[in-house]
Amino acid sequence: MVDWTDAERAAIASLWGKIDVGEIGPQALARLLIVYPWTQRHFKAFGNISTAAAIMGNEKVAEHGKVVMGGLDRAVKNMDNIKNVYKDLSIKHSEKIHVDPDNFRLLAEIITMCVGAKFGPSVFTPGVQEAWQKFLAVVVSALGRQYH
Amino acid sequence: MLSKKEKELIAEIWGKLMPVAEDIGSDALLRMFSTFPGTKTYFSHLDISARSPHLLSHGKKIVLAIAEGAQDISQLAVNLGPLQTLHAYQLRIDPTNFKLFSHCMLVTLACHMGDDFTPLAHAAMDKYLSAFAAMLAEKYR
Repeated sequence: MVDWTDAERAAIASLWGKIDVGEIGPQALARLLIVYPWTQRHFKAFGNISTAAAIMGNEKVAEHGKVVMGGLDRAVKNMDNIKNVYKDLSIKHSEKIHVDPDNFRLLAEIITMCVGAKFGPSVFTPGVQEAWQKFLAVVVSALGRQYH
Repeated sequence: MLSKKEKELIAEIWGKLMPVAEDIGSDALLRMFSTFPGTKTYFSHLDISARSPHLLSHGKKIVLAIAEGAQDISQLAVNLGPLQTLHAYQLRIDPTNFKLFSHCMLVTLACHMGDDFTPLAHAAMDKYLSAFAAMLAEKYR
């Protein structure tokens, strides 16, 4: 069980309320593929991802980014049970998709930067960042938990 | 590997940040201390609360070193010599922390640059900070 302070719960709820998954999700996934090109290995079926411009204009990337970002909603709504929320997804990423769990950490870092760029330093303060990264760390841990 | 275009972009961005080195540096440090409390262990001799003189001057020092290095990346090994020695023999900060700081610096840049923190700028900055950190740790062993 994770210990959340009231301030952390409030910060995450407030931030999540402002986030548009259709906006941040596509940006984050595109950046993952651009900044860490080796992650493209999982997206060969997505069509043209050969250049940054191609990635940013790729509809499949955008759609998948939205799906992944939207997946955080379940964690926001079940902050005391994140481990179990992602049990099946963890198994899927391990046994079916074969994703190195370190990639979850990379994507989480990029999501954090996209959120920072969107909301600026007065909304995304160090305190809010702490809560948000703690939240994402729990999500990342849950996604890696079923690997064996 | 940094392309010529990326090196120019990096030099340009850091050149513009030099006048606000204090704000950028202290913001990045504060974010690092908040998110990764273990990093505070290296600063027990300073007051690192928000807006403290120590935090501001230390943040400024770090950003200026990064910004100056960015103006001539091909000479990074030469220019960082003294800082390499300092970190290896005196400060002895575990190099894992360079990654934590780099991440928080990227978040600070994202917050301050907003839309200007394009995917290309993001990739270039990430690569530069990684190279900088690796160079800084070179004399450790």
